[in-house]
Amino acid sequence: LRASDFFTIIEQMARQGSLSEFELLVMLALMRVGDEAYGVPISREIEQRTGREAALGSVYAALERLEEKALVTSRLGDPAPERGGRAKRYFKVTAQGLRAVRETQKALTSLWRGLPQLSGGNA
Amino acid sequence: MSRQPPALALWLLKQLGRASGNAPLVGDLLEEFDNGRSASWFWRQTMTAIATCAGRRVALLQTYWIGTALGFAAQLPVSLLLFRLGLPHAASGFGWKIAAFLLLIICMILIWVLSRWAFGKSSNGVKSTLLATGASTAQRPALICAAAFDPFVSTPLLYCFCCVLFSPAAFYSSGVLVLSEFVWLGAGEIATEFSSLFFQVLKSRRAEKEQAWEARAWPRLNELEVSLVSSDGAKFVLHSGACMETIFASANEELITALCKGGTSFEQIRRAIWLSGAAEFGWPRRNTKSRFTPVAVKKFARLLGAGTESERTAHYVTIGQ
Repeated sequence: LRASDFFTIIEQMARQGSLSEFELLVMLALMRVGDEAYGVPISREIEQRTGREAALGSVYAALERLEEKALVTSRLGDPAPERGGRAKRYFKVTAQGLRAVRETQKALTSLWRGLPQLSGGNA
Repeated sequence: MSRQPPALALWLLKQLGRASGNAPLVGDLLEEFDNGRSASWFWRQTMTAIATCAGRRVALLQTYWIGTALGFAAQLPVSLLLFRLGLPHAASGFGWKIAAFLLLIICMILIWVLSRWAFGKSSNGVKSTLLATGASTAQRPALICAAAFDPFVSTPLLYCFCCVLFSPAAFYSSGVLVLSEFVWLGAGEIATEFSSLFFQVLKSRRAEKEQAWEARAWPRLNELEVSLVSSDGAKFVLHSGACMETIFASANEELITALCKGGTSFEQIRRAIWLSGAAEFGWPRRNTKSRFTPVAVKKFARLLGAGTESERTAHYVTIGQ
């Protein structure tokens, strides 16, 4: 086993690992918002659906991680005066991203199914 | 924007946008604040954004931190051995201390040169590589070695310098030695991080100014075509097809009008340009076919931008007459 093999294993583990909880929330919110998805509507969608505040900084950090994994792509829009002349960054889910969400959904559903603690509402 | 967010938070956020290159995040926060979010929300979001960006930077530089930690750990036996042997001895005279300082500087430069020669980059170069492109599996061992080289060589060197200035006993014990080296390394890393962020902000501000300059509404060429007929009957035809930057493309309309009102000849306009310092950027080359006078537009336009509008007008009218 060489040093480079060690790094390859770590890299592969990071790539193959499923989406984290927050990354999954961001991916689902992104898919719900659709084509005009940028930081503000994504964080609002998460807030409305989950009832918890999603900091924009965290949303962007998650989106950047997802972009590195090629699960989302982004493009810059035009600068807007109400944003202090700054452009919006629009995000879109890739085919690979969709696959990752489906795989996560499958894994979660199979874990969910048949849990006695969760059936009947008497936890 | 109708409401103003907290000034300090906004300033921090702008610097963050410049340092991290994430201007859309800043825009999103400003948009949300404009939509009625509170000042405390803005502060909370700013702090979260700063913490997230810092965390992300630490994560991106993971390979660098591993290398630095390994380099630091590897140099410890050398420093401890020197400490046990009581080496090197403290210098007695001021001259020797100055000499030690100069030697330290020379050694630091040599370390930098050696690192570039051996690994193709210095430890700061490792950071730039990781931030710009990340590291592939094949690159990572080399980057770790490059990051480890600096603390491995420079920390014992700094220990020796401290011994020459004071004495090995100034460290009291080997524990204090390890702690002081660790503090030194940490302080150095923090200082490097802040200085690189500072330069990144400066660079970004310069780029923003350049962009604002480019976006300024300079007079359009076809507008100038109409007004520019000098007293000697020369007409300055400026058209985009010429693909040539001319002084008139960058000069403001006010200046051109002032020059024309004063019955300025082409030679006088040239003289005005020369007097205003355009010659510094190269003597205007006369194109006999179209009478275009190309100069470094941006620099000349900047020159024209100096002073108030009335001062500029008065100056050029005087020259023109």
